[in-house]
Amino acid sequence: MNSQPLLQIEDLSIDYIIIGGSIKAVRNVSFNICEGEVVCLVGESGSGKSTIGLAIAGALPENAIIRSGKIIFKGKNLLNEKSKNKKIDNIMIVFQDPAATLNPLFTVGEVISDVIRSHLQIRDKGKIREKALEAFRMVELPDPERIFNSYPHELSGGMLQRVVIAISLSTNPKMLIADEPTTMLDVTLQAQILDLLLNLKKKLGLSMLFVTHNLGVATEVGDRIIVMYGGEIVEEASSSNLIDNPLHPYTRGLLECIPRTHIRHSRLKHIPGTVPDLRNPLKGCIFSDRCSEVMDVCRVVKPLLKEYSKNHKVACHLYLEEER
Amino acid sequence: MKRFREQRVVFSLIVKKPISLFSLLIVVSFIVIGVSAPLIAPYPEDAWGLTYNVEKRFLPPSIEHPFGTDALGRDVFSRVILGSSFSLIIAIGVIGLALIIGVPVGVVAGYYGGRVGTILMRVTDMFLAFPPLLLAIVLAATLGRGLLNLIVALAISWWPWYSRLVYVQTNTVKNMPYIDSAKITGLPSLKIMTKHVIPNALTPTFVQAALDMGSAILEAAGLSFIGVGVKPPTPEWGLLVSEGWQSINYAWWIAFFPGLAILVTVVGFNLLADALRESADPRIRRTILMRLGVKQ
Amino acid sequence: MKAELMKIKDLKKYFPVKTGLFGKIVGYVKAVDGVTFNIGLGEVVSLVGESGSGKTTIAKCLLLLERPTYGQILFNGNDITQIRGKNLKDYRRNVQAVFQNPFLSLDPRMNVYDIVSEPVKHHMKLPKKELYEYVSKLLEIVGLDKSFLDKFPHELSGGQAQRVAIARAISLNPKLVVLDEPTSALDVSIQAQILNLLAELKEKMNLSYLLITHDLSIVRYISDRVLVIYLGKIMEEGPSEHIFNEPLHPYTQILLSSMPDPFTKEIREKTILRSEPPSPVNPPRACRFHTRCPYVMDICKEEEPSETYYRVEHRVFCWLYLKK
Repeated sequence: MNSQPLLQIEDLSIDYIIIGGSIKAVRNVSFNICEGEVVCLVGESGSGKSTIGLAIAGALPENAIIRSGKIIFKGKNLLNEKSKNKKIDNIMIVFQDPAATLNPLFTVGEVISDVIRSHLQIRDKGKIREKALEAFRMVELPDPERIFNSYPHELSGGMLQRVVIAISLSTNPKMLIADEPTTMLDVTLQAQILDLLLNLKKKLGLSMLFVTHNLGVATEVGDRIIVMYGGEIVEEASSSNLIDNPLHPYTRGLLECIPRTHIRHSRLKHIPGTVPDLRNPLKGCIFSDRCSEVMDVCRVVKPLLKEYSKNHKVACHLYLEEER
Repeated sequence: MKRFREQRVVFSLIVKKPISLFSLLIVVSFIVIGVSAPLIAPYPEDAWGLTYNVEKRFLPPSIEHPFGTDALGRDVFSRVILGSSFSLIIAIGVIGLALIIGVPVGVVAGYYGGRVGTILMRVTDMFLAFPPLLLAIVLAATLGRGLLNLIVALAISWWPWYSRLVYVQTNTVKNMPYIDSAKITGLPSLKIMTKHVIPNALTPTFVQAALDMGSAILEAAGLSFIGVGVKPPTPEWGLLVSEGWQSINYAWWIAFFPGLAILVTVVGFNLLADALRESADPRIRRTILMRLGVKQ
Repeated sequence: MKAELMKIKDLKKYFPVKTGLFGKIVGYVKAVDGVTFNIGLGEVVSLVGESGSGKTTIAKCLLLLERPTYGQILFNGNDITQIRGKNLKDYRRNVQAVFQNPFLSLDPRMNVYDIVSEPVKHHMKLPKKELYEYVSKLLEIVGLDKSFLDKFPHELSGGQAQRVAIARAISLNPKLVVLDEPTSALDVSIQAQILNLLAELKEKMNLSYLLITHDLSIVRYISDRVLVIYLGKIMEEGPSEHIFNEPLHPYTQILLSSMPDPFTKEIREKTILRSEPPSPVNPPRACRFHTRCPYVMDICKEEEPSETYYRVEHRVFCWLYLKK
């Protein structure tokens, strides 16, 4: 990384308030995203990956509290009071269910025009429409004029997801956050959308934070993959490094769970146990109660995320030299 | 208790806010007084309207008679207390009967759909087309005065609302995979409806019904006031108000206190309804929860 | 060659499309349009397809949640499409199902004991004590201990809830269990646990499975045979090894290559479908897939391809393999 990273997450901790306590959903998470880079946050339910995405986009629910940490975008901490009032028009977010994101009472043309008008401060109707159609063309939508005048229910799931991506791109964002954008789509549509996102990354130099539970999808789109478990980062590496040499027992377990299409298994390996209760996270390593290679120190001391080799960090006592 | 996780959350949300707690207290007091009235009324024969004390007529409120006495020398306080029993009976009777009619109609219409559903819901719609109070008045007048007739008349004007509510809920529930699972198990339709559909479809209707009791009391009072409800000397609040109406200028307490009873009870139910609706709204819930959480 | 349990012959299911005040029928959604296949004793057959393919409708017809518009379903030689009363009850003992989302397929107001004992109570007359023992045994078989008996679905994790659903499905010792996306709603690590359980149960109880899914990776792990469905018709059928190693139909090839697989990212050549899937109300004439097929020829647009056997037990519906 030659220059300052586009996005810096520093020691971020987020809780959800519930009756009788709080869920420590994200704990002391730090990572960076550089310009033109696609970083995938991978984890299962309860890992905290979605929470981080929402926090960056400023879309956290009302009962979420940011306990500590900084979200620094282009040098400015987004969590400061002053920045809160400015529109985050450089970071846009795409969600899992496009139909839920779009108001069924408005045509998609009206929605995208609204966004362009408010974010880019353009008044001229003609110019707005031009920009809108340009965005639709960029996401390879056939017949952008007809789409402009359509209501969400008239469009298919795949088209809607493209429309939502187009809306996000219409404001020329520096960074796109995608929260499971293809989970609800059929596998052939998913391949189309992932292909589109990769093309956009190349064409526009777009940075992306891609949140997913699917390691396969992560390796398709990601330059770097960050594996999360129970609110913490357990491993961070370039996609090839992660797949070729998974270090953390959780990452290894996750990879082994995936049935391979070109091999017939006799029995799938699986990770015994269940996801942790984040109302009272474990004191030591968050994975210690499910880890097949757990040591005494794991239950007591939390392993810090440390660099193991170039482009490969891991938070695991197995790799911390001092303990050996 | 585990089945009622949701109810516990709602309960704790209600008791934490002063107004909703107050409304809950009103409703609970109403029920307690209604149930125990025959025992706690200081002048039971007065309450039942069995006495005539000439010398005690039109006495203003005092220590022996906190609400004064009426045109026949009867203790108004006792009559109002016993009136709560009648209001309770009316509330439970009307709403109960309306549910007994409305729920099966709604469930069957929703579960089977098709022609059966259409016919049942058209009948429901026909009833709903009448202004409810007007329908109740006409029915009550036709059936004649009396407690039972009053309850029946109100229930007949009330059931379509529940039928509609249940119909809508049933439409959602019937498409649930657990209903498919019940079908695959081989359960007959009747069993599926009673065991799986009704328990899951009934909650909103049930909540609505519990709170409708306030409105039922009000409507019954209204009907009795205009003379098509209960017969004298039943100490129903509406009838008490109408009895005290003629003497309102010189013996205001005879109509005032029953009227106050109606007001407080119905407002109590309505505030509780608001509190319940608020607690069901997820956004308000989160705000309340957040405030609770931060305090902790 | 396994003994036949079920023969599905030319199954069709059309849903009428009604408009207007009087519900005039203006067309039909041809969800299933002539499907023929068999399921053998102790065999796992997978129906693979995307949304709109008709795979779920086929399952519903086999489960008699819908009655077919046309065609036969033979169970042990008897056509069950019109059965009622006692015959229907007997059929139900033999054909059960596990659905995608266990929190929707389990009645939220019933506890685990009630849920699992319900089918048993309906079909068998067991005294209370024996019923209790029987249900406890069922839970044990699926890996849950007695403490789960009085829990409610909302107190269970996704994996545990799905185990309860499986316990209920096997409670009557069925011959066939329809699995409709049984692991799609679960985390990857739990998916593996459940798949292992299903494989184990199949061996122990000599069950047949009809697996409905869009996730090809789990198909490979557990199926003997695979059917690829597109817009209500079979495109290809064969033993799973053949389908995965040598997919014949262009649609099958595209499905396989669209799947994100972390391990084969570099080797795989991707064919991305560029267009939108057509609607099942007005499916394309002749070959259903011709509007999106990269190898489309003139004849594909004129005539529907008939069945060809490429090898023993591997058949395909495609002009590429028919000699004209």
